[in-house]
Amino acid sequence: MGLFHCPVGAAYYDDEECIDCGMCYAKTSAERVEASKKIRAYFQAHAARNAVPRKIALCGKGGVGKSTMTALLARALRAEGNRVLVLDTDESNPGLYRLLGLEREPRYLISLRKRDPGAIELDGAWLDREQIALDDIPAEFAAGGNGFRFMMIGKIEDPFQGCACSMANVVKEFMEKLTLGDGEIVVIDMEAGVESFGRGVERFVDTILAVVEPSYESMALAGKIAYMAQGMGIGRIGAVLNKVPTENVRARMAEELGKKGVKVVGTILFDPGLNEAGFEGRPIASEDSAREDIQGIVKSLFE
Amino acid sequence: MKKGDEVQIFNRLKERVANQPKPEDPVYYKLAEQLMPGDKEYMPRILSKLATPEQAKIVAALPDPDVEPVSGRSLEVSEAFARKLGMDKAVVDKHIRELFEEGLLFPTKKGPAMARTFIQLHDAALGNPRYDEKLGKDYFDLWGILEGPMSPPKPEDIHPGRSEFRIMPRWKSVQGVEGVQPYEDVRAILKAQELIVLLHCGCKRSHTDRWCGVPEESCMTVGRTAQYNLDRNAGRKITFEEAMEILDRYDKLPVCNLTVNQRDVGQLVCNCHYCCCLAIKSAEKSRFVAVIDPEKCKGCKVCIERCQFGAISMKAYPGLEGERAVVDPEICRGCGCCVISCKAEARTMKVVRPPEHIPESLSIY
Repeated sequence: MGLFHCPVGAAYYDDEECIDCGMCYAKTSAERVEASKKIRAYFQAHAARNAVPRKIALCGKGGVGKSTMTALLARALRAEGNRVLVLDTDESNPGLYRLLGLEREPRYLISLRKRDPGAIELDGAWLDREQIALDDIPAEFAAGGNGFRFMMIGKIEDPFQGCACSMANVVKEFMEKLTLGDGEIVVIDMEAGVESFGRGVERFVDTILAVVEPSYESMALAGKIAYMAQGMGIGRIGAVLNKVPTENVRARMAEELGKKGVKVVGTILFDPGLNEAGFEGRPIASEDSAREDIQGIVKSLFE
Repeated sequence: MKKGDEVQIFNRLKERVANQPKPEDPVYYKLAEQLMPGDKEYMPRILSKLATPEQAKIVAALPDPDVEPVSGRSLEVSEAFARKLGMDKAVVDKHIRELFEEGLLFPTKKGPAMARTFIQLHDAALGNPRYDEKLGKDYFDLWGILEGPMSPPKPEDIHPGRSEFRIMPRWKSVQGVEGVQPYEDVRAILKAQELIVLLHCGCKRSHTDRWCGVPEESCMTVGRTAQYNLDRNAGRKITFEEAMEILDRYDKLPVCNLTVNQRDVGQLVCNCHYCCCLAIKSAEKSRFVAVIDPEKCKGCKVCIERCQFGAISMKAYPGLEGERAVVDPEICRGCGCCVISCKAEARTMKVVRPPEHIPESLSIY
């Protein structure tokens, strides 16, 4: 590793940018591992951080309940008096608007970035601004109202529609520009898995919640999500346990995740009512038992 | 010189410097011990070219214990420092400035200090041609020897997940390809830079018998590195448009664009060939591979010549006349050289690896 190839951009040892990670003078592989750790820690510590969560992304394996959790969390945040925007970036899962109690989907954000000559002319000037405030988003792209709105990036509808990279780019662009004020929060339902991390979609997010169900794969993925989120410098990372049948299981999950360095911020116990709502595609009723659990999560986020 | 002459070239290098005298002043051996412990052959000689005995005396006395603490980095030494050496302060300052421009001394929090490692010295002390006359031809050969014989990159040279560098596709080869990320699009990277400084490439300068044909002045530094070089009167500031023109000129040469194996490109974009570059051997593949349309291939074999990795060969395709090119996707590192050199336009680049193939931050585990 030459000095002119310094990962943090220093021109030489003890230059202004130099963090003395040791990469440039590491001789053994053990020294390189140590240096790598310092670089990671540096990237982690130097990312922009908000005092309170404003951009919250929910991630996790497919089927763990990200959409349900998004809906529950968004409602709880709204109930606390915040203006909430729910952003659906999951290209494959069609039902979030129903869980939120909306009748129809808003216009897809991706439609503004499609260069299909046959497409309807849309006024996308608002998306080209350097900063976008909640009120700048036209109603046709953000369904709902009264401080609770819902946006969608787009869905893969036809076979062979190709890779979702272009959608990820729109999410990144939008998230970077979205400027939130006090009491304004965006909750993002991420696509399943960790591919979005590879695309850097989470870079403009300040809080990552990994939704975890009691399964080995789900917990392993939560560890990976937390690791990648740390590498991106996201300060607030936690796991929300879902579909937990008993207190015993909860304790074991928390212990396992703790070993992976993931902090549990809340638990939703298995709730047949919630399960049914998801199954039937109807809105989640506010009296469902998950409400109290989710309030606890909101509280711990703002601590 | 040509492909296959690597060992011969290296032996010639050694012969050329073998009969040259070694420095007598023990100060060079003392300084060399800090940079490259155990090397009593080449590093002391490199240092003797960079610093005159008087200058070496100054370097050996650094850091100056009496230097005034400053908030930033500086090249200042105290009056007492010059007095201790029995030299005039103005003369000491002049020497320090020269050694800084050469790349042996750096401004630090403790005032001027020698390069901490031989790599720091390598990257800095080969890049300022204003001192070529002082350094002499041997100087460059000595560095060439330290790097060892060059050889073509082999697939097993890559250590997955541990590469320090990565190959970026030549930008024209992926122009218009869906899913190209900003951190792998050389044009987008250079466009985003506030400062681009074109530097004389140290690797090329230390291998005088190289045959890639790329001009020495080809190293595109950005950020702090660019500023550092401007500060020491090395390199020259170029605009984005000039940088693109320079890259265009290399379209006919077998060169790969390299950078640090992470998303953030904060240092430089290299134009590398294995005849003079060590970094390319273990450089991680890009996210792309070249694909060939055998029907369009005219069998001119230019791509075979351009490919540094030996990923292309000729074969007979059923139903097609003559032999046509075929890419081994396992060997192809996705540099795009063959794509931009194909006159028949029989080649395209295809994304084959996910974006997480390129790590957020360099990590060598």
